[in-house]
Amino acid sequence: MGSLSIERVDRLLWLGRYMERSYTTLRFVLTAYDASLDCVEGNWKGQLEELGFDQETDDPEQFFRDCMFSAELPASIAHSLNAASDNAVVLRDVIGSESAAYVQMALNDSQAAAASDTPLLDLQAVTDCIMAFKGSCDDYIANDAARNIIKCGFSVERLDLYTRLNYRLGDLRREVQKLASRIDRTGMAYDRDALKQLIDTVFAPTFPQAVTYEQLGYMLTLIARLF
Amino acid sequence: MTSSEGLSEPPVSAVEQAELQSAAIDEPFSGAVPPQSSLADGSVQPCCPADAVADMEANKPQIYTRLVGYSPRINQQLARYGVKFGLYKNGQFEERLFPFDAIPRVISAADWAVLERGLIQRVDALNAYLRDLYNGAEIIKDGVVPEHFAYASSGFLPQVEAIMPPKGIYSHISGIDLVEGDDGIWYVLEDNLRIPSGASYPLVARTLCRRCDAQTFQNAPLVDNRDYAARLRAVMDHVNCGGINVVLTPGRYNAAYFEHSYLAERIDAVLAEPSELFVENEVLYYRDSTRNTRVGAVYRRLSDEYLDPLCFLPESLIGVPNIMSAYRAGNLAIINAPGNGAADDKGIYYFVPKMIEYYLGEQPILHNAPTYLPYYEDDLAYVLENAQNLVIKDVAEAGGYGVVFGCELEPEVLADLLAKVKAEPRRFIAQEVIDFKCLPTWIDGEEVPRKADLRAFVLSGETTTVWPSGLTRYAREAGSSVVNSSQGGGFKDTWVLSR
Amino acid sequence: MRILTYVFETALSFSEPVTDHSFVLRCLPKSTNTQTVMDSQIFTFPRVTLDEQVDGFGNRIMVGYLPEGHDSFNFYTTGQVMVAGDMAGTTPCHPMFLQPTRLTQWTEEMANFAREVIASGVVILSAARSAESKDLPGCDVGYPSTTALRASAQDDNGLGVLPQARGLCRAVHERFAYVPGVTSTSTTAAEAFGCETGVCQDYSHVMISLCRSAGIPARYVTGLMAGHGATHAWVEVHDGQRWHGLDPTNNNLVDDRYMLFATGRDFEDCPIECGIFRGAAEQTQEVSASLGDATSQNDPEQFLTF
Repeated sequence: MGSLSIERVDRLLWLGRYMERSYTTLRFVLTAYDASLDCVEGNWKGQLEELGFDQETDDPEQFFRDCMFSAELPASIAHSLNAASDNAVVLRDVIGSESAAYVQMALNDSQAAAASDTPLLDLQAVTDCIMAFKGSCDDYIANDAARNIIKCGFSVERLDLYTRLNYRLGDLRREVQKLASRIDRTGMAYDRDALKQLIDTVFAPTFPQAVTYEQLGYMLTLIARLF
Repeated sequence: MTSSEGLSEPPVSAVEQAELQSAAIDEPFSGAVPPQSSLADGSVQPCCPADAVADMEANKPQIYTRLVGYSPRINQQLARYGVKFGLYKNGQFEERLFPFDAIPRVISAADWAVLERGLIQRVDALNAYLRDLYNGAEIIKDGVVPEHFAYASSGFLPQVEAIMPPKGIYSHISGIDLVEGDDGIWYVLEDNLRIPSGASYPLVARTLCRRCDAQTFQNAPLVDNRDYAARLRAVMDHVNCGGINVVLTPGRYNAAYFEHSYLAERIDAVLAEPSELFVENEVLYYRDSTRNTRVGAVYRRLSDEYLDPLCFLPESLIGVPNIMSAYRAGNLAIINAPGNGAADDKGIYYFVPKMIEYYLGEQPILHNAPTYLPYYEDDLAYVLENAQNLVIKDVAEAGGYGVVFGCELEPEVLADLLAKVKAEPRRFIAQEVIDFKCLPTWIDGEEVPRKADLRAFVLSGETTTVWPSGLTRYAREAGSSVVNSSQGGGFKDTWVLSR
Repeated sequence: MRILTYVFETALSFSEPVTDHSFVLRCLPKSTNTQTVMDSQIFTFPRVTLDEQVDGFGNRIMVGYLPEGHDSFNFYTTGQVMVAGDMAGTTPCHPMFLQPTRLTQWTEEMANFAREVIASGVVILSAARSAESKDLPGCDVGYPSTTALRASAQDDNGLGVLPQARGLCRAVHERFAYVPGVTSTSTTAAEAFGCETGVCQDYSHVMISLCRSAGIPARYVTGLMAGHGATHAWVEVHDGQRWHGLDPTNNNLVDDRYMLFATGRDFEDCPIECGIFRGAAEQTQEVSASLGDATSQNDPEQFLTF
């Protein structure tokens, strides 16, 4: 079925973004948690504040718990999975019950992990579901535009998070390239000028070695302008 | 597309919530089967004789026995697919899993043959009635259905007078609620000709059950029920007036949203909310991001009064403005047709057997629960005499309201009610209480008897056919006949045997 | 019989531009047993393709859609109609006109009021008979009713439907004070009956409720009245043979000074204009209308210039 309304295009994009956000945030939180174990004093919250984890607590365990499971915290993994599921549920006819089920399972598994005494270990199941969802997009979503829009969502979110975290900047070229090659296959309207400037920035010979904080901020505005 | 939080939480206003809730009136989750008769002292009669229970406990292997233990695992799988229903509790929307019991309702080939013929006959007559009622109303002129019952029904919509729906079909998907009485006779309790729901649940369940135990399905002579989507698709294609098929949902916060999205997927239709559709020059369009696509048939899952604010309730915030103009012009099939409420109302139910005789010249194959209309003098006398044994229904009230059991009322309250019946006989109907059969049900690790009803789905397209399955709902509590999912009730697969 | 020319114009203004504007107009006269439309035209601004349809009540409706932004919407209709109420043939009555609607649900008090008026109806009629018998052909004896329900509308004196309705019309007129601004388009008959004030819509709803409570089929009519610069509403009752117009606002029998646009069970079935659009705009409307003899078309007093 080829018809996609503007509302659904938007939902597809955000489904991709929230799934990617859940995945990348989860990996980042796990890394930060691991580092905090060896951090005797000082900023054990690390870069998590850059992701919007600004909750006031001195208890690392509570802090990391909230990062993962607090439904109120917009940056939390639970919140992203909920948002992804809200989008998936209304896209069932486009993405198919099989793909929608992986989103539902990721959410179910994160709820089960929250209740577990080894939540970090059990969150592996969430990662598995997200990866399965990504594979399922490729194999099961027949609508080319829909599949590409979700994947653009993955890319845009990854660009946003990597830039925000000043993290794996070296990967940005590959991400931008993937986005650029896919974006015209979605039939979506987007800001061509922002994409051009983004390409110019990450493909500059000095990127990412000489990148400044201001440049990263500018890149974030470009990413926000894309759609 | 600038919102940074996307569409994670579409806001729902209080008004919309109210509309979405009322749009769910026909959904199975708000349906109620009249409770079984209670004794005057308030104690509940045992629903099954003790020896019947003993029989069940004898545990002789049934064709489904190997499946029973898989119930928890199948329920896990249903959770995986998000097979849920929604409900409003304290003004908040919640979604719950619909509990599934792996012990099916089994209907013999011989029983089914009768049910099938009876259901086709009934729905054909109901369609003929709707066609007649809105186009000349010969049946009223001939005095078979009294004028008052036809037109006092809130489901009668004068706005659709003289509009002939594509191919003359009004009720494409009819959900007929039946119970099997203790006497072994099937009784029709209710016709649902507006937006009957529930077919998706057994559909999903059958697929999962087949994965549990190959032997059961190799051995049981079962009619496959997994062609529901193909049947539904064929009905839509048959009446389609040119364009795509759309499933129109009032939105995410509807009790049966799972079903809306699942059926859309299975019939390869576009799932749309009202804001994604518009009407221009008597044609309905889907608002595509790149171009607009013509819609030829819409399986709408929102109720008549909210369908078109320029034709029905003007204050409706949902709905597609002027969708009725596309329908009037013959450019759009609306499934089911607006105005069908005129034929599935409590007061009209009494007349369905008469319609069968009137339109088809046949004797009704299926039984109504014995019903009395105080409007007729003989019936009034009977109702006054036997009120303690009857359930009395106020025709003007919708849903489960205005339904009272004579045996549950204090004598003075009953006397008051009967005075009302005498003063306004047209407002009421009375029915014998049907004691219906229990089905073995797996609850908390044991097989126990529970009351259950059956919603059969009849599809009317090129021909009228009955889906060889149905939604069997059972009550959570022993002795109870409240099969509502909101009360913890669950569902079963319905097996129709091929021999 | 009389040939009338009408002009009717509505200007809707929005406080800010609106989009996706869908609408239905019922501002073209329909041919009935009392009037024949000889010519009717409609113009809109902004221009839009209109589709003409017939609604469930037999009214002519014009359906349209304006997707682009606009801050006003005007429509103008004009035409010629032959009215001949005195020469009307018989027409059937749909039983729905005996049923209450949400705007015309009557109360116990209203039913009693109607009963009392009808019981004293002979007096009103005998006073009226000599003066008005000319305008009321055949009203002095009730027509035989076609259904059992309608038979109950004849009282013990054999008083027919029309004299009963005439009595109710007068009673409403006398009970009510014409005060604009107190009621709204969603005021019910019961509310209006309680506050005893209102405009033509309220007069009509109350009279319809009273008639139906007494078993007289009654319907709501919108249209124009000569000498009245806006739209008007009145009532028709069915006497078993045909519809008869009665105007409770003016206590008139409807005659060749009236031309109807649309009929329904109540106001909600036949609004002259209804629309729905995107945008948070406030809507204001200006209406002007005139109706008069075809020959007096150039009378500057009576006709506006568009």
